[in-house]
Amino acid sequence: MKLSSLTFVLVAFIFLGCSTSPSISESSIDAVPAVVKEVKKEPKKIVTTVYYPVAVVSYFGDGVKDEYTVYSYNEDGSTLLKEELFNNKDILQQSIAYETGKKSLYDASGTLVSYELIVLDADKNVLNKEKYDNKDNLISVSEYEYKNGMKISWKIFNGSNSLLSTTLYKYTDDILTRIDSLSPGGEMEEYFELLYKNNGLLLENVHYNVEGKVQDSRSFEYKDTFLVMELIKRKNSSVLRKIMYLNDQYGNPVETVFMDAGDNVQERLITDYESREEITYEN
Amino acid sequence: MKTRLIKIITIILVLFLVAASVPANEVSAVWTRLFRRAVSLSQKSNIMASIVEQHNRDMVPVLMEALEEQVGSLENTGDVTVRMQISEYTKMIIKELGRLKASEAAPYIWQIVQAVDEPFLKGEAIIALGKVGARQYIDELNILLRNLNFNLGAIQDQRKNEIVAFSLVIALERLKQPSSYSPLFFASTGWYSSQSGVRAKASESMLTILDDPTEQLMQVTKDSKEYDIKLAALDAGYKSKASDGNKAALAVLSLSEGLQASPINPTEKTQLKSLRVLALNVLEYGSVKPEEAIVYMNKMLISYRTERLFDIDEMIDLFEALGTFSSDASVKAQTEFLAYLTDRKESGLSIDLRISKSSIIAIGNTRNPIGFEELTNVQYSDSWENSVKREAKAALAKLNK
Repeated sequence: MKLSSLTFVLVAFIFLGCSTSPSISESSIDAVPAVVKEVKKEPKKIVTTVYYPVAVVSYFGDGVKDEYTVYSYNEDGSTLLKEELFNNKDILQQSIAYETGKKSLYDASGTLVSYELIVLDADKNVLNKEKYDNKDNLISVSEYEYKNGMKISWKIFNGSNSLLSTTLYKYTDDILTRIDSLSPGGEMEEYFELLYKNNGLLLENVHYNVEGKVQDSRSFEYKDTFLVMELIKRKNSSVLRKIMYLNDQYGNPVETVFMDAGDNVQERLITDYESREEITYEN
Repeated sequence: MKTRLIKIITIILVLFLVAASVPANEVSAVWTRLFRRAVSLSQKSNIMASIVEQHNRDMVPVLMEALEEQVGSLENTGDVTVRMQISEYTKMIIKELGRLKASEAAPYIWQIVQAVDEPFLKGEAIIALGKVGARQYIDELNILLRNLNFNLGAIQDQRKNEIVAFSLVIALERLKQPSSYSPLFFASTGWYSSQSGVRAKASESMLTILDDPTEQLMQVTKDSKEYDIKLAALDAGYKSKASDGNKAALAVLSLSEGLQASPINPTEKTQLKSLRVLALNVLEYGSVKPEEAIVYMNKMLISYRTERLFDIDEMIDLFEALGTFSSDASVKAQTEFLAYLTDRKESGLSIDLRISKSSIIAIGNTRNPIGFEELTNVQYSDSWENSVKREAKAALAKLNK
């Protein structure tokens, strides 16, 4: 699983302040009613606890530490500023610096390797990503389109602005159910179907070729609505590998275990989180 | 009192979590397709940069595909710039396969190790073999390091060989196989420059791949004709996590080796002395006191009596070790030596005070009553200096405790 997918809100505590609600309290059982005043409706205060990863440590199957990534944020933890990868001797291997509209990759010596210029819309959806090498040569461009806040297309262009690929995201009742991958000429090349359980949890993601034959698939298992197991299957449905998620009480995956079909551990990721509170008001 | 009820509702944003966990399946598929369609090296390299950025196991098949494609083309290109580009591109693939711990990629990575001569690329591939856990190539990797340890290559290849050797040490440490101990040991004592870090890294790796390397080190001690190697073997054993018993056994072997040979030059003399002194130190500080050690320590006492073979500081080390061996055999050997010293003293011959005092202190430290008679002789002797008699009195006091 991509690290970025671990990143954001996992649990929210919503505190509803409701001055008009009757409460069973000493004051509510007073025998003599108080003077009735006009009640002014106050906005609801919503406190959301946001968990964000601060470190991900990778271990080999035998438990030996391999490498780790440290994530640095601004003071209140709301903006990722830097991502640094270290080896098990604490020597920096690479780093990624995040600035407004720019993401830069540096090697171990601090030399720029490549960078991306990123354009976001008002809802912070990525609209455009231009990737450059360290000599400012444009390598590729990714363009995204959204409708009602949902991503509906992703196009990739090469450095000469020739279209390389189009991906279309299709929704049923606002739920992503199909992804089509098209050639530059607009012909279907492959597609994915996403199946959900009744409660809205993703159950399976099946990859088909243009002829509609299954290429591979992923299925998902949950415990108390938290994802605990992901099975990656071959076209004949046999398991190729597994990803096991161990979650904390808030559902944050604190340990991710990558295994082969025989349950041999290939890698174990341990993720540390910190949290911050976001306060918003709702009228 | 106005009371406000604050309702606290916990909402698990499951859907958000699931959305975040949805695999980047289509992303992997798109980049894989684009890679397969790419023709030029620069196109492939650009797409590979995006593939590597995903850091996703779904990309392993296309990474392997790309690597396989490179095996044939690596050494066939004459143009230096193109070769460098290919090398960088191949390193990017190999490094990512290593980071993903993609064990299924091992055969492709091994092909690169075999096919290329360029040390940085070869080194990257070797390190990746370690990361993907390619134990099936452990024998080949051991041989590669062993051959480099011999330094049979041309002098101009030394820097290159050091780069490859360093990578091999890293990989062998990761693969953690007992069979790698010997090549790592010889790398730790090898020809490599200190700047290369090979020797230091190998010494460190030896400690991690085998807790108890006694068997391997005993073999090295027996097989090697070089005293500095025997000394390094004892030092490695001493620093290892082996039991005190095994450390003592190695020390006994080293002591015997140190006594067998006659040095043919000052360097050898120093090496042999260092070997014996370290062996004595290991025996002194260990909790296990093997009786076999007494045979060799007694041999040193006898050799000193007959030939004055050993320096005074070495003899002091010997007595310090003997003082920790409290068996009857040990104390008998020591009292015989003290009797010899007393005889000499009474014959009017000079005795080094440090030797005599160390000998007396050692007997006292054994707390074995067998030492009583000879210590009493010293205490009441008319020949010994008062300072020596005082040591004998103090030693006797220890025996009586």
